[in-house]
Amino acid sequence: MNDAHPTHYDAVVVGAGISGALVAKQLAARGHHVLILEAGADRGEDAATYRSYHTNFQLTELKTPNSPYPPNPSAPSPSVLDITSIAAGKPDSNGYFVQRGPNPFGSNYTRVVGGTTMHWLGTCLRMQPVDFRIHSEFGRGVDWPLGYDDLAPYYERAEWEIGVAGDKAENEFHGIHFAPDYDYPMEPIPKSFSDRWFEQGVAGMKVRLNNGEDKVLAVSATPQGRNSTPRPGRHKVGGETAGPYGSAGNTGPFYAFQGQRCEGNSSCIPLCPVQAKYSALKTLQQARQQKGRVELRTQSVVSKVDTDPASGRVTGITYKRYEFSGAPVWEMKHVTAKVYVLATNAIENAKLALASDLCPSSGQLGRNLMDHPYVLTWGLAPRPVGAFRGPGSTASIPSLRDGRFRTDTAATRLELANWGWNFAANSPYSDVQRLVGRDNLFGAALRARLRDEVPRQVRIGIMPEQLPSSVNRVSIDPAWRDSLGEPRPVIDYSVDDYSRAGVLQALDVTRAVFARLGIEDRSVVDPSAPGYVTLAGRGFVYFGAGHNAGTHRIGLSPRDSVTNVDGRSWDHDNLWLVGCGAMPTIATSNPTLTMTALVLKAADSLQRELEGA
Amino acid sequence: MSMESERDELRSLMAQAIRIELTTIPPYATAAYTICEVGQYDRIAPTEVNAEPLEVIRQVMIEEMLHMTLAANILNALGGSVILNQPSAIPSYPCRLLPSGKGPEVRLRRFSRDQVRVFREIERAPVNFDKLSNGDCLRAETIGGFYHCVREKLRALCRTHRPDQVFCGDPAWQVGAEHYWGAGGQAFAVTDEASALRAIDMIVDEGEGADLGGRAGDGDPVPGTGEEDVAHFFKFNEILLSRYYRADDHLGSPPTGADLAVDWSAVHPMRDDPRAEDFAHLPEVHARMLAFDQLYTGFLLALHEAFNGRPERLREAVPVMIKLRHEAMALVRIPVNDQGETAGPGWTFRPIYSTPERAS
Amino acid sequence: MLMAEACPDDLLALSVALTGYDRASLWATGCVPLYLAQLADVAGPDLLARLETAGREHAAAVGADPDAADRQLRQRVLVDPDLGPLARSLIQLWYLGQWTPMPPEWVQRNGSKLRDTARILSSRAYREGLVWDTIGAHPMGAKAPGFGSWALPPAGETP
Repeated sequence: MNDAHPTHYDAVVVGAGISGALVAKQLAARGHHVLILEAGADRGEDAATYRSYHTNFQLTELKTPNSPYPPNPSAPSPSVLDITSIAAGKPDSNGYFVQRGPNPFGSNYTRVVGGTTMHWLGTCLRMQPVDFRIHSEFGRGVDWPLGYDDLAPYYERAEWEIGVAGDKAENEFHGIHFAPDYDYPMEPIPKSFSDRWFEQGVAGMKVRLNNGEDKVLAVSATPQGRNSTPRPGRHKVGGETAGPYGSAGNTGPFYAFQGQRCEGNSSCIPLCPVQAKYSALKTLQQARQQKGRVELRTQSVVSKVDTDPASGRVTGITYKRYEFSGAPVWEMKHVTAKVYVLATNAIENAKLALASDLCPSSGQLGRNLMDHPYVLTWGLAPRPVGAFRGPGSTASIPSLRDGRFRTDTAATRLELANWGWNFAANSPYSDVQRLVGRDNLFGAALRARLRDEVPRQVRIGIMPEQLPSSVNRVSIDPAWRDSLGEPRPVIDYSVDDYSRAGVLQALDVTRAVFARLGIEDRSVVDPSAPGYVTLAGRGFVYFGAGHNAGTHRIGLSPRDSVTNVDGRSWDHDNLWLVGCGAMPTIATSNPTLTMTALVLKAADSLQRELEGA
Repeated sequence: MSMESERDELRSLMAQAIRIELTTIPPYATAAYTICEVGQYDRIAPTEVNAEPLEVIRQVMIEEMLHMTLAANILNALGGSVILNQPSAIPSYPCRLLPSGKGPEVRLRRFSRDQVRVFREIERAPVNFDKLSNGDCLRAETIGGFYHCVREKLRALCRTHRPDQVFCGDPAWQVGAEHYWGAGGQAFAVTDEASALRAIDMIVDEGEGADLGGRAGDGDPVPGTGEEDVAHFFKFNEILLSRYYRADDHLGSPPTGADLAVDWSAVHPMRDDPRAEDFAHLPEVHARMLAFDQLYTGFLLALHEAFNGRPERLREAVPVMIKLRHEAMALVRIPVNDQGETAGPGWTFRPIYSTPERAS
Repeated sequence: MLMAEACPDDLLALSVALTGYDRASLWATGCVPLYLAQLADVAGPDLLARLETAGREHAAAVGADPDAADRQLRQRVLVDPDLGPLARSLIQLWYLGQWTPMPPEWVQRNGSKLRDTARILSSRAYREGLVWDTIGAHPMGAKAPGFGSWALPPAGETP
């Protein structure tokens, strides 16, 4: 064997997604040497590979979030196409997951360089202050070991790492606040024409909820990890002066990695052809510019985190290096470091930790798996609103993100979508197929009908909070393994009545909005769909939102949490677990921004550890 | 000469500069858009070709847009006014690049070795600056020579007069990064000698690179990468030689970077210098080419407004520019005769108030 | 390949009638050879000849009375058990860039064809689907209309 690689580092990071890239960047900035082990085979970092992702997307009939990425049997990813209804006692093992139900877990992730930021939308919402203490306030879930104000400086840094385009004033609701000398690094992404039509339509609209509470609806522009125009001037970011936000918008051979200004490609999920949307490729690129050496080893599936039984300290990491995707053989390798960081998504982090018998004390490892069970409702507006233009979503109605109702009904965010019924009904494909195949139209008549109908399509997505529950969990079972012999995630999952009640409340509100704006409701609820669930006789269909969270939560005590507030394992002194798995609750915000803030906090503690502070 | 007349001369030179920058954009764009675009376009061979040359020309083109904007900023800083709403101010093709009538003849032609050689000539550095420095700028034989001359005149003016006399324009007319961002580098306001010289240097350095002693690098870091961009002359040479330059490569020696694959045959056979009038016998094509010209005219009129006190209008010009690209790419796929030649963008300024051409 | 035998003029005339787009617009997609080859491969020479005839006749008749020409096209092509499915797939090919396979009855009558599979024919075909133009948008992931364009009123609307 010819191995020119060193085998000892300051830090070994598992996973080349946003969490791993940020840890590597920060440690390397201080001169530390970091190895990143990535299971995926693809190198999205050269322009030709990135273009090939794009071509794959264009040539795929079902443009799912993972459609750009070639299937990789050596490091499989879950696909939304694998999801089926689960019969009692008979797990669904169609795809990579082994799903034991009772409800299907509808979300996925991407095992490539860049991780799931290679298909995320880019939404960068902060959690509301009250979301950090829902147990105290509503007797639900758990409180976080820290509050909004503790996390605020890290939110600021996170927003600047990602390059968030946003408007403070539009996001100051339900107690969310910003420091006066702070601002988002980029000017906001303009609201779509459709957003503004909704905004005018719901202006002043009051709804009475079942608990008697009144809510006045409003539309808020969504902060997004998407290049607009850098905000001029200097700002205080996490206590340090920064700005104006630079470095984007270049045109050299590497333009793809810093990205241009958003030009409205309308394909944010899965990927932006001009890299206006943030992906971890940008941070990886920056990580390589730092003082310390950052080494990225792809096609390296971590198999085991080795520990010393006496001290509990991690003694090394064993990984399987495969030569090409689907290779029948692989090589076992071993590396050591001063500190170790598991930085994959919530499900892979839990899987790997369970397979290595890590973190046993709290019994919480792998539990409290959460997502936003995402419900769609759609209709035909009385006028053209210009569907299929712009980023996937540029605004939402946050009015139901908080309220006294949260004692027994989940909070929800109502997301306004810009791509018509694309996600709901595969428009405009299905529209053409219906008008040609069923309605027998052709020529000018066909053109006119499409022209009349499709630009009027509107859709609202409902994202309810899901509470942490010990029965929603990731586990492993020796019976289920992938082609490398690694365990496949076994998932127990259900959507409880609390979340269901939140969805029903939101459906009532969207119905009222539709009525007020003259939108013809065209939503279809299919009782045979895998995600069909009911409450009090009313049914709806949910999908995964891709917001996998909660499997190794942070906390104040080894009794009920897997790591401390910095992501440092209670049981293993030199091991950190970072990523969405760290989140004790998921609230109603897409989790990436909060996760990033937590990662930066963890990176600070890693830095202190390496520097003996 | 009096201060006023020297300043007037500089203003008319900057107006020439804007015209020169504008002249280059349609030919570069046309060549780029005749390349069978990136991605799979043949069902037998699902490969991608010419993604790199397309990207190289695209980079040059958007830098020319930036140069035009910076030239407009200088002219406005000098209290002059940019004119882009008169037929006489807009190039029509074929034409000569420089006011001296020197330099290559500029035509609208498909992507070919010959055309890329012309582009390279456009960006060629002058051999001897001294010959030009105190002469008549309008007689310069290269873009680099022209700007060198303009630069000297500007410095001379600033040496003898107060800054507020020279830079008497309204600062609110300046186009900054807030109006122009996301392509080709950063636009910045010109308010004094230092910023004016910085603007000229940026135009020259990104263009022919002569001020860097024949080095390929243009001093512009490619953000986030630590790499340095290379000047336009070298970029076109990269295409002709099928290999990328590195920043430290020099004029006269071959590039030492990575392969740059070029397929000269994956190009739409556009007829040279297409004009709507030539296709009156094909009404659908004729109408589409006129529509393109209308779009281009609207684009120039938007630029005119943006450079005349309403810089925020630049934002609206961007979608029009993109539409021009898609329309041009559509035109070059439409066959117009049995030899398979295709239509193309005519880039003809046709303000609504001028006499419309009649289809015969 | 069969493509050489296909008569682009008559099949283009048929495509114009079926899509409602003019010839220049169809050529502007850059997909004419690809689509006509796909049609020829599935149709086979006899059915292709009948489609050509229908296209020629429509082109000849449309100037005088467009409604009558369309009615005749519906009777001769769209309701025909052999030509109808081909025409409907051709429309969807132009609008979506993807081929819709023939229904089972058609396959029983005409046999199965190698290229009669559901697929997007090329990445260009994806980008050039006419539907995006029809709805005043752009293909998702291509032909981006520029920063902030989504905030403008839909095309053809006054603010």
